[in-house]
Amino acid sequence: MTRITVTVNGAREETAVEAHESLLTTLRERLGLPGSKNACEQGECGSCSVLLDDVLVCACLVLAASVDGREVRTVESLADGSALDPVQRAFVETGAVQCGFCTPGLVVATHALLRENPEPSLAEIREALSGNLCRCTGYGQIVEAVQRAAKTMYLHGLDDE
Amino acid sequence: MTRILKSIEEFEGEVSESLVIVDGHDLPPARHDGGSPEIGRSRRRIDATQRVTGRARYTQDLYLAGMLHARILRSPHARARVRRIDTKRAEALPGVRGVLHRFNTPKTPFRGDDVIFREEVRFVGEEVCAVAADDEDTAREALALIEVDYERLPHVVDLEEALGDVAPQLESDGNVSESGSHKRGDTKRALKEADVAVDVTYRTSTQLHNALETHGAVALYDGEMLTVWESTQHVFGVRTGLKNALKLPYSRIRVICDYMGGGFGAKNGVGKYTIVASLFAMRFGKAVRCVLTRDEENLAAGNRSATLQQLRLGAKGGRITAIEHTSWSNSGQGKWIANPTGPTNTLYEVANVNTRSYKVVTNAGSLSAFRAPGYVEGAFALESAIDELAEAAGVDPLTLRRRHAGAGKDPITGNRYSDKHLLECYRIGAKEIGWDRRRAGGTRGSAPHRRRGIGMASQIWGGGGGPPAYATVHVDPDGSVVLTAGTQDIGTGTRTVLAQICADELGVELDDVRVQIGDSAGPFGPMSAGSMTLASVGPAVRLAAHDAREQLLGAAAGVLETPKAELRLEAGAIVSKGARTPLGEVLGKVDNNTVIGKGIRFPNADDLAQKTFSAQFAEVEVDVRTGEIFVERIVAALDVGRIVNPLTAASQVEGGVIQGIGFALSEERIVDRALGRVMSGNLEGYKVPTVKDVPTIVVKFVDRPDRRANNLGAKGLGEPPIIPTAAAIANAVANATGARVRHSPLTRARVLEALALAGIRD
Amino acid sequence: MTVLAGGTDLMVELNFGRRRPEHIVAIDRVGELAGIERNGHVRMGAGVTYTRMLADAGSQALAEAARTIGSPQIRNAGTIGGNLGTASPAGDTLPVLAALEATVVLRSKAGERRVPFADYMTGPKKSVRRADELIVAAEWDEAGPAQTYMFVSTRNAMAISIAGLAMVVDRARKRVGIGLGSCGPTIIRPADAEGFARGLFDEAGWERPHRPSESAAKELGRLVAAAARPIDDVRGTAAYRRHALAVMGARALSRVAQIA
Repeated sequence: MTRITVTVNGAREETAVEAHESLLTTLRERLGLPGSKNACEQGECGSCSVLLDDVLVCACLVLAASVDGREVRTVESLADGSALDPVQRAFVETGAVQCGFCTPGLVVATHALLRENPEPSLAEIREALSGNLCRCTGYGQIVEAVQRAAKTMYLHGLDDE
Repeated sequence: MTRILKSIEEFEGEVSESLVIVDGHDLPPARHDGGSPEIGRSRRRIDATQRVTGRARYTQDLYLAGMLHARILRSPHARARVRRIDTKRAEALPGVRGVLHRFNTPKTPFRGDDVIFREEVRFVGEEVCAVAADDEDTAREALALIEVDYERLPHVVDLEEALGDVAPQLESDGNVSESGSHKRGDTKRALKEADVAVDVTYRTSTQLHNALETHGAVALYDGEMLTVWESTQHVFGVRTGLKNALKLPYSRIRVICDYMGGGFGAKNGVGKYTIVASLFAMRFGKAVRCVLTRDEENLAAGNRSATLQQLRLGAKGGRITAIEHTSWSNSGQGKWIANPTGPTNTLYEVANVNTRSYKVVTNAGSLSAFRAPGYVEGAFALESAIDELAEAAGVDPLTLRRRHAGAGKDPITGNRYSDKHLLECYRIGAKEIGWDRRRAGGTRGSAPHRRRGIGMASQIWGGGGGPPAYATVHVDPDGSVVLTAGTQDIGTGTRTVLAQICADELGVELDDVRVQIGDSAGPFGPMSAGSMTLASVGPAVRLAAHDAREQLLGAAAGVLETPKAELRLEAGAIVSKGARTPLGEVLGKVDNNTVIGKGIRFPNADDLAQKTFSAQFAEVEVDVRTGEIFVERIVAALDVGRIVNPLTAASQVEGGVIQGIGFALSEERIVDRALGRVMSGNLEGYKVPTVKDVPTIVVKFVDRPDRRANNLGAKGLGEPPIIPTAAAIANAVANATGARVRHSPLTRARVLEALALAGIRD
Repeated sequence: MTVLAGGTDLMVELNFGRRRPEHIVAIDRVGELAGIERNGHVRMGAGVTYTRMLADAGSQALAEAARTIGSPQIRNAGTIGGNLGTASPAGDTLPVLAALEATVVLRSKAGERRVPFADYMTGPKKSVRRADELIVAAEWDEAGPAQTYMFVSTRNAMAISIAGLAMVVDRARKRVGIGLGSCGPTIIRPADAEGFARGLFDEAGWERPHRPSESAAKELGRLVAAAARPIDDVRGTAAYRRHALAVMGARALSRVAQIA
C-alpha cells in the first residue's frame, strides 16, 4: 500500500492505495464518491470521467498512486446543495437523462468542453462527447443539453467558479 | 365485490390467458381534450436531479460495512465435464472466506436445472466456482489459485455448423427443435400461381445488450430476512427466483432496485450471481457483493440470438399472395427462443402464410430477451424481403405495404384490434422523410463514389400490458402524497410518468407526489419488459389516485361541512364555490389520519388484440468504394396510444432507434469457433454507437388514446422503436446502390461483397 | 520495473488483473519528456499527449492521426511514447512515424541509443526496446505539408482502426514515405508503392502540386494492398483490409499530390 495526499473536490484527502489501484477505485471505495461509474474499466465508455488538474480523463485509466499531490474534481463537486450547476440543469431540462448511469461522465465531459470552448459548434460538441457512451437516451437530447448549457453559461458565467 | 375475471395478455409475441382477482370497477377512459393538467405534458424527470449529481445510488454503488466480495470462476472451455476441483490454495489465501462449487453447494434450482454449478459446463463463461473474500482483488486472485480438472468434450458454437450432420449433438433429440409454427391458406399453390416470387436467405448476428450498468447484486442476511439489492427489471421475479433456489418464504425475502443502469431485457429475473451472493450472505451473516465485469457480462448475461432465415414471397396483381418463412435461432444454452416469425404471422393481411421457427442449441451463452426479442431479427428479414418483392414486381415498396396494412383484425386469432393507425404512421413518416424524392435505383450522393437512397420498414408488437399490477396512494396529514407501485424504473422514466398520472387524477401538484417503487416489500407488479409497464401499472395508479381522491373529498365534506358533490380537488387544494383550502389544512383538522387509495389493473378484454404499430424511414449515403454507410436521417412515426410524457417518450424512441442502428451497422458478437471464446467481449471489441454515429432522428407520435385498451389509453413504447430500424436502413442501402445486403450488421465488408455480387463498381 | 505513461494501455491490464507489477514508475509528470522542439528537425518528447499533437505535431499526418484516436479523455492521457512502448500494429501514430522515417530515441543507464523506426518494431507488441530502456523521444525531419493519415474503422468515434495508412511526400528531399497500420505484424512500408509514387512525382515535378490520373491512383492503391500482410480478426477480414488499403492508397495519393 502507498499513502497519497490528494485534493478531491476542494478537500484534502489522505488515503492508502494499492500499487495497481485505479483512481476510480479509490474514489468509489475509499473516498465514498460513487458518482463516477464503473462500466468498462478500459477507457471506452467515459462513465468515470473526472477532471485531473483540470484535464478531462477517465478515472479508470489513472493510477491512484500517481495522483499524489494533485487535484481531482468529480461530478459530486458540481452542485451546491440543491442548486444544480448550469450543465446539470440543462441535462435535467432537456430530458438528456434516462437511466442516468452515463450521465455523471457526460456532465463532467461537458464541463471540460465548455471551459475550453464556451461556444462550441455541433461538430465540436459531438467530438467532445465521443468518449462517453450512452445506451438509453439517444444523444440528441444530450447534445441539446450541451447547447443549452453553453448558452446559459455564456450569458451568466459559470455559477460554480 | 371480489370476483375472478379472465384476461388476455401478450408478452413478447406470446399471447396467454390469465385469471385476475378484482374488486370494484375500473374507471372509464381518461379524458383526452387537452385539459388534463399532467397527462400529455412534457415533464422533466422527477429523479433527474439525483442522477445528474451522482447522488443516485445504483446497485454497484452500495458499499455496506464489512461487506464481502464474491467473484465467479468461469469455464474456459466451450464444453467440458468438471471432474475435480481443488480449492486448497485458494482457501489458504489470506482474506478468502469461502469457495462454492458443484461438490459443496446445496441444491439451488435455477431455470430448469437443480443446481447452479453444473457437472457439464456448456459454454465458455459458464459458472464453475464462486469465491467470497474481504476485497475484490483477493477474490480475483483466489480464482487463479483454484485448480479444476476438466474433461473436454466436443462442442459447437456456430448456428449453421450446429445444424449440420457432423456437429456434436448436445441434446438427446439433437440440436434442433421446432418451437413454433403458423399456417393459413395454401402457400404452395399461391407461390405457383404468383406473377413474381422471391426466395431469399437472411442472417442476423448475435447482439449483446451492454447496458452500462452490468448485472449484479448485493445480498444481506440478518438471520431472519434476506435483503437483496439488484440491478433488475423485476424485483418480484428475483424474489421468486430466490424463493425457488433457497426455499425461503416470500415474506423473508426483500428485493430492492432503486436506481438502475439499463437492462434491455437481460435483467428480467434472478441470476446465478444473485444466488451466489445470497448463499454467501446466509453462510457468513454479512453483506456480499457480486457484480459482473464487462467481460463476464458479455459471456454469460444473455444476448440476442443469431438467426438464419429463409423467406419465399409471391405476388400477383401487385399484391402479396404468399409468405413462407423458416427461421433458426442460436439460443446457446437457453431454454426458449424468441420467435423471428412473429412479424410475418401478424404484420400484414396476407391470405397464405406458412412459418416455422426452430431453436438450435449450441455451446454459447444463453440468449435472453433483448428489446423486442425475435421481432428485431424477424423484421429485418421480412421487411427486407418485402422490398425485394416490391422491386421484382415493379411496385413502390410503401404502396405495396399500404395494400396489406389496413386490416382491422389480428390474422391469427381473428380478434379485432383495440385500435390501429399504421396507415397514419406511413402518411406521417413518408411526408417527413420526403418519400416522393425517392427514385428507383437511388440518386447521386455528395461525391462521385457516393450513392444516396431512402428506405422504410414497419413494425407490429404487443404493448397492451395487463394484470396483475397494484398501486397505493397514501396522503399524509400535511397533504403530501406517496405513490407506491409494483414496478421499477429501469431508466425509462417510470417514476415520472406514474407521478404524472397520480397527480393528474388526484388533483395535486407533480412536486407533491413522491414515488416509491423498486421494492418487493410493496404491492406486486409486472416485469419492466415487453413494453408493458405503463399500460399495466399506469391504470392501477390512476385507480388508486381516484380512490384516494374520493376519500379525500369525503373527508373534506365532513371537515368543511359542505356536500361532497360541491367539492373538487385541484392543484393540491379543496375547491368549493371558488374558495380554495389547501389539502394539508383540511387534513390537519383530523389529526394523524392517513388516507390510503388502492388501485389494481383490471383485465384486458378477451376479444380484442392490443398492438402497437409504427414505421421508420431512413435516408442514407453509401460509399461504394469502401462500403461505408452514412445514415443521415431516421424518421420514426409511432402509434402507441396516448403519450403521457412527450419528452421522455421521444427519448425512449431515440434510444431504441440508436440500438437499432447498432444492430444494423456495427454491433456483432464474434466467437472463435475452434475454442468457443467470445472475441468481442468488451466495449473496445464490441461497437455500440457513439454520439458521432448517430444521425438526426425525428420522432412523431400519432398520439390517439386507445380507449379499448385500458383506462389511460396508453400502450407500451420500449420496444417498438428498435424493431424496424435495421430493415429501413438495409432497404435504403439497397435503394441507393442496387445491392442487397442480407446479413445484419451491414458491415463494410458485407456491403462490398453485396456490391460485387450485384456487379456494381464505382 | 514497469513504466506507466498515459495509462491507456497499462491501466487496462492492471484493471483486468492481467498484470500485477510490484513497482510502477509513472513518468507522466516528467517535464523533460513533454517537450516538442522544432527547427526543421522535430524532436517530440515521449510524454507528448495526443491532445498536444492536435495543436503542434510537427507533422500534418501525425496531427490527423492524433485526431482519429479515441476520445478527448484518451487523447488527454495517451502519449506518443506510450504508443511506441505498446508497439501495437494498430497504434495510430506508428504508420506516420514509419512514413516520416522517424528515429526512436531510447535511454538507459548505459546511455542513449537511436533506432530508426523501420528497425524498432519486431512483431505485434514487440520492439527492440530493452527492459532497462526508456523511450524518451521520437525524431524526424520536417517534411512539409504534403502528407496525410487515413483510416477505416467500424464506427466513427472511439474506434481502433481496421486499417490505417500514412503518406508523406517530402517535396524538398524528393522522398515518398508510406506506412500501413493494422495490416501485418508490424507497421509495413510498401516499397513498390513508394517507388511508383516517386516515379509519378519525378514525372510531374516535385516542386508543384498535380492531380494524378485515376489510373495512377488506382495503381498506387493496388501496390499498397499487395504489400499488406493482413489477417482476419475481430475488427475485420483480411480481404476487407486489402480492399480498404487500395482505396485509401488511391485517395491519399490524390489528396497529397495536390498539396503544394
